[in-house]
Amino acid sequence: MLTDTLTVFRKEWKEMFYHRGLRGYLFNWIIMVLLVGVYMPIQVGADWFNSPVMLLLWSWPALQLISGLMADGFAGEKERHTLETLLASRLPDLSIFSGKMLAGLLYAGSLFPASLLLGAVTVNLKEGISNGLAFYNIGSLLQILALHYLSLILIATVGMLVSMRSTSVKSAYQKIAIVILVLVLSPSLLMGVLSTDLKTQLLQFISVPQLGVGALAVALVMLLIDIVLFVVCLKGFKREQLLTA
Amino acid sequence: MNTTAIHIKNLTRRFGELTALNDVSLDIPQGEIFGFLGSNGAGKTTTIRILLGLLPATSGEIRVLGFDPKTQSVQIRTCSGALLEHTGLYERLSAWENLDFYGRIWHIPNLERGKRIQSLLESIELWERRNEVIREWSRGMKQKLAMARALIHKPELVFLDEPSAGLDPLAAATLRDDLKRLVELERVTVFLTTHNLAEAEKLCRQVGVLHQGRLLACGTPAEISARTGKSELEEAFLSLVRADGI
Repeated sequence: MLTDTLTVFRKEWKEMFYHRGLRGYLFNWIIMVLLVGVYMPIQVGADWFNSPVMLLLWSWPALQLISGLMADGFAGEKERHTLETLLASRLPDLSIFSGKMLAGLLYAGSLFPASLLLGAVTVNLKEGISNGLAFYNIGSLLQILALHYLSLILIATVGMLVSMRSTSVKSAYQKIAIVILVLVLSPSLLMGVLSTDLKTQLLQFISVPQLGVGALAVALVMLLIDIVLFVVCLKGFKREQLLTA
Repeated sequence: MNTTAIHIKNLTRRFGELTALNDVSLDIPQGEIFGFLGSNGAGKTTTIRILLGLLPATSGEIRVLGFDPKTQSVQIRTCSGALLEHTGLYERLSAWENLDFYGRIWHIPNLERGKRIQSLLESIELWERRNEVIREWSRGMKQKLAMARALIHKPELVFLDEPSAGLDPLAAATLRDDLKRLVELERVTVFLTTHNLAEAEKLCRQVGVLHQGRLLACGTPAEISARTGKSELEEAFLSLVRADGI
C-alpha cells in the first residue's frame, strides 16, 4: 500500500513541476513566503512573536495553494483523459487518493513553516538583536503548526471530495474557493455584527501571547472533522461515479 | 485445450431508461484476438468497463480470467492491461516516465523495469525519444506508447478500445503488426473493439457484432460472412445491422 501511495505521489510531484515548470512553482512559493515571512513581519514588528492567533490567520496562502492543487486532483485527470486508464490499473483506491493528497500537502505544507522561519529572521533584523535573539514561544509555535496542518488537511479533503464530483478543474476550484472565502471572511463578518464589548474581548483574545486550552479543543474538533472527511472521501471513491460524473 | 479467458452470459447493463447492453453472451478462449465490432454507441466501451470492474453489470454472469468483476475487480486489473478510448498518457511527462509510472504500479523491480521499458520502446522505435515530453508527439506515436504501456507488465489479457482510431493507414498497419507479434510471442488474449471492419478481418480470429446493445452474431469472420451470404465482413456487418433495424 505504501509503495503504491509513493508511486502515485512521485507521479503527482513530477506533473506539478512540469506543468508550470520548476521556476513557476518555485516563483509562486517564494512570493507567498515573502508575503508572510517578510512583508507582514515588517509591518507588525516585534509583536509578530506575540500574537499566535494573528500568525494562524496569516497561514491562509497555504490553504489557497492546496485548494488549487486538490481541485486538479481528479477533475484535472478527467479533463486530460488520464483518469480512466489510472482507474483501470491495479492501484488500490486508498493509494490513488493518498498519493495525490500527500503531494499537495507536502508542497503547500512547506509554505507556512518557511514563512515563520523567515518571519523570525526578518523581525530580528528589523528590531535589532542587541537584547538577544527573539523567537516564537515554542509551545505556541507547536500549537500554531498543529492547527495549521489540521486546517490544511481539512481544505485538502474538501478539495478532493469536490474534485471527485466535478467535471472540470475550473468548477472544482470555484467551489473550493467559496469554502475558503467563507472561512477567511467569517472573522471579519463576525466582527461587523458583534457588540463593542464582544469585539474588545475578541481583540484581546487575538492578542494573547499564548493559545490556551481553547486551542486544544479546536485542534481535537478539527482532527475529528479531518478523520470523518477522509473516511467520507474514501467511501465516496467509487470508480463508476468517477467515470460517469 | 484452450481455457476461457472471458465468459459472459446474459449480460445486461442499463443506465436509467437506456439499455446499453441487452442479454449479451459470449466466450473468448485464451490466446486469441477477439474483435467486438459495432458502430458508435453500440455498447463496446461499456462492455470493456464492465469486464474491468469499472462499471457493475445490471444483471448477468461474467468471469474474466476466472474472476468475477463484481467482487474480484482488483485481481482482473492486476492480470490485464488496457488501452482505452483515450491513450491515458500523461502529456507533461516523458515516454520513459509514463512507462516507468505504470511499471511501478505493477511492481516490476527496478532493474527489470528499466530493461522492459527499453525493450518496449525499441520495439516501437521510440527509444531515441524516450526523454521527450510527449505533449508534442503525433497521435500515432502516442498510441504506440499507450500500447507499450498496456503491455509493460506482460498481462494475460489486454483490452484495446479502438486502438487504430485516428491513425493513418501506415501507423494503423504498424500497430496491427506489433499487436500480432506480441500476441504470438506472449500468448496474450486480446479483447479489441473497433468499427474498422477491415482491420478486424485481418487481426481477429473471432468477432462479435454488437448493435444497440445486442449481440447479433459471434464467430470467425468467415462464419459470419457465410451466415449472411456475403463475401466480406463489412458487407456481413451491414447486412446484420440493417436486418436488426438501424
